[in-house]
Amino acid sequence: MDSELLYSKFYQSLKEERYLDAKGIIYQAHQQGMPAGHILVKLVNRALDQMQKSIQSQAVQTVDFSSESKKYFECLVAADRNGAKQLIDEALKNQIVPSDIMHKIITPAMDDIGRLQSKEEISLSQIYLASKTTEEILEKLISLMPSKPQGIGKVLLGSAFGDYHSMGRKLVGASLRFYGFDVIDLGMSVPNEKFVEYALKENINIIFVSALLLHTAEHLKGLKQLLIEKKLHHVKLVAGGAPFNFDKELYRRLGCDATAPHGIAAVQIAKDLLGK
Amino acid sequence: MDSLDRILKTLCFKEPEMVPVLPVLLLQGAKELKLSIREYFSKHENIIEGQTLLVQKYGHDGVYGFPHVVEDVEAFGGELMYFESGPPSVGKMAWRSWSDLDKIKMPSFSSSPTMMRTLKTIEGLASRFKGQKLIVGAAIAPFSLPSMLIGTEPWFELLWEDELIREPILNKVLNITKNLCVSWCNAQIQAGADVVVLADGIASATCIMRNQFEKYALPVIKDTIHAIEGTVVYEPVGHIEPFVDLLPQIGSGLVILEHKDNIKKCKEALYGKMSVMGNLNNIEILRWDKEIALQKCLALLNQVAPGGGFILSTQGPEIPWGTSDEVIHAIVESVKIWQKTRSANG
Ligand code: B12
Repeated sequence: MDSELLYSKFYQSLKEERYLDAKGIIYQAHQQGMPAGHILVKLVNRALDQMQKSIQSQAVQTVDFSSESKKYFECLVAADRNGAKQLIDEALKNQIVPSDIMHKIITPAMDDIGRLQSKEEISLSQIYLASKTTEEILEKLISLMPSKPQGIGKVLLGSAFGDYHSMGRKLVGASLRFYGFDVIDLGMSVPNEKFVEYALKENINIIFVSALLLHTAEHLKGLKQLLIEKKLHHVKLVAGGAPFNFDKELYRRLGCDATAPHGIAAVQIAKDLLGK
Repeated sequence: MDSLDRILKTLCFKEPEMVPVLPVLLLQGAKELKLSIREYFSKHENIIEGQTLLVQKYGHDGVYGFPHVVEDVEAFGGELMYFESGPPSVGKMAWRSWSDLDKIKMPSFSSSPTMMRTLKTIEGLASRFKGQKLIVGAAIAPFSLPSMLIGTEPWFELLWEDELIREPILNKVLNITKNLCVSWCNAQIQAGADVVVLADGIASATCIMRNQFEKYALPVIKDTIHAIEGTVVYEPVGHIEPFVDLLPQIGSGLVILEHKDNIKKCKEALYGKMSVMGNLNNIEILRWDKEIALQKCLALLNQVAPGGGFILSTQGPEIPWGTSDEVIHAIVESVKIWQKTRSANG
C-alpha cells in the first residue's frame, strides 16, 4: 500500500475514533519497511495537524455562522431590511461563500421565522418583509454562484378561481423557491382547467392553491375531481390561506391532500410528498 | 325586556335576564327570498325584507343595515365583484400607485349607489325596528381601508418605508380614509343605525406589530371614533388579544373578538371599560350540527356570560353562506337554555 493511502486510512480511523485500526495501520507501515521517522512525520504528525485544523475550522464555522444567523433572524423580526442586507454584504466581504451564506446563515433564520409563524408570534407584515428581504438577497447570492443551485422539484402554484388576493400566494411561492423548489406561479383566479393543463404539460406532482375567501376555496373540490377524471391520481393538492387556518379539517372536506399554515410549513409538506 | 334593553344592560356590565345574541347574518336574507346574492343586494327593499324574515325566523337581537363592508371602496371608484355563494370582494382597485393620491378629489359616499342603498336600508329597518332590535351599520376603519383601495402588499410596503417617504403619504392617506369613514358612519347613524361596526382587520396582531398599532392604527381610530356621533363597535377581525390593554383608549364600548383570542382573559382585562362580543369560530361552523353548536355556545356562555359585558356572536365579519339553519337556530336558542339552567341552579 502506498504511503498516501496508508495516511488516508490512518487519518480516517483516528477521526472515527477507531484507535485499534489506527494502531494496526502503523504496524502495517512498519511491516512494509517504512522508517520510524517517516511514520512519525508522514502519518502521525500530519494526521494530528489535520485533526487540529479541522477541529479549529469547525469551531470557527459553527460559532461564527450561528451568531450571524441569529443576527440575521433578529434583523428580520425587527424588520430591519438594511441591517439584514449589510450583514450579508459583510459575510461576502469576509470570503464566506454564497452557498454557505444561504445554507448556514439564512436558512436557519428562515426556519426560526417558520417556527414563530407556527406559534403565531409574528405578524403578517413582518413575514412579508422577511420574505421580501430574503428573496432580494437570494437573487444576489445566486448571481454570485458559479452555477445555479439544482432545484429539488417542480411545483405548481396559484390562487383559487375567483380569488384575486395575491399576498398569501406570493409568500408561499417565495418560501418554496427559497428552499429549492422550481415554482410555476399561475397567478390570481386560476381556472381549475388551467391547473390541470399545466400539471400535464409540466409533469407536475404537487399543486399549491391559495384562497383567502371560503367561496373561492370551494373550487378546490372541483379541481380534485378534475384531476381524478384526467387520471392524475398521483398529483397532490395542497390548500392554504386564511380559512384553512381557522378550520384544520377544511382541506379534507374539499378533497385536498394537505394544508399548511404558512409558506415554510408548506415546504416541509412538499418535501414529504415528494419524498425528499 | 326586549332586545335593546338586554343589550344596553349588558353593555353597562349588568347581567340581563337573557344574554343578547347577534349572529352576523348578512347574506342569508337572499336565501329567505330565494334570490341570487347579487340580486338580493341590488335593492334596499330586498335587504329590509330579508332582515325582517331572518329576525322573525331566528329571534336574535339585531338587524343589519349594511350588505357587507366591501361597499366602502365604491366611494373611491373601486369596483365590486359578485359571487354565487359568498360575499362580494374588491374587483378593480381604486388606486394603482400612491401618486394617484394627488389626483383624487375628496371621496364621498353619495357617489356610490351601493352605499346610498345602505342608507335607505337602514332607514327602512329603523322604521320597522327602532327601539326594539339593535340596528347595525358598518364601515371599514381608516387604517384598513387602504388595503382595499391599493392592496395589502403596497400598504404593508408603505408601513416599512423610510420615515421621510412614509410619513407624508401615510398622513395624506389616513386623512382621506378617516374623513370618509367619519362622514359615512355619521350618515348611517342619522339614517337610524344604533351602532356602527368599524372593521379594522389590518390593525390586528394578525397583520401588524404592537409598535405599529400604537404608532399608526391607534391614533387614527381614536380620532375617528371621537368624531362619530354615535356608538361604535370595534371589530379587529384578526387576533387582538396582544393589544387588548390598549383598547380602552379608543373610545368604543364593545369589541368583537376572534376565536383565537382568549375571550375570558380579554373580558377580565376590559371589564368595566369595554364589553366583548364573539367569538365562535365562523369557519368551523360550516361542519357543525346543532348539538356541536349548542355545546360550543354553552361552553362560551359559562366562561364569559356571568356579570354581563358580553354578547354572544360569531367571530369575523359574517356567518358564511353554507352554514346550516339548525346551527343558526342553536346559537340563538343557546342563550335561553343557558339562562334556564342558570336560574334552575339559582
Ligand atoms: C385584514 C382582513 C380584512 C381587511 C382587509 C382585507 C383585504 N385587503 O383583503 C378588511 C377589514 C377590509 C376585510 C374585509 C373583508 N373580509 Co377579511 N380578513 C382580514 C384578516 C384579518 C387577514 C387577511 C389578510 O389580509 N391576510 C394576509 C395574507 C397574506 O394572509 P393569508 O392569506 O392568511 O396567507 C398566509 C397563510 O394563510 C398561508 N397561505 C396563504 N396561501 C396559502 C396557500 C398554500 C398552498 C399554503 C400551504 C399556505 C398559504 O401563508 C400566508 C403567510 O403566512 C382575515 C382573518 C385572519 N385572521 O386571517 C379576514 C378574512 C380573510 N376576511 C374575511 C371576510 C369574509 C371578509 C369580507 C368578505 C367581509 C364582508 N362580508 O364584507 C371582506 C372582503 C374583503 C375583500 N378582499 O374583498 C374572512 C374570509 C373567510 C370567508 N368567510 O370567506 C376572514 C378569514 C375572516 C373570517 N374569520 O371570517 N378583511
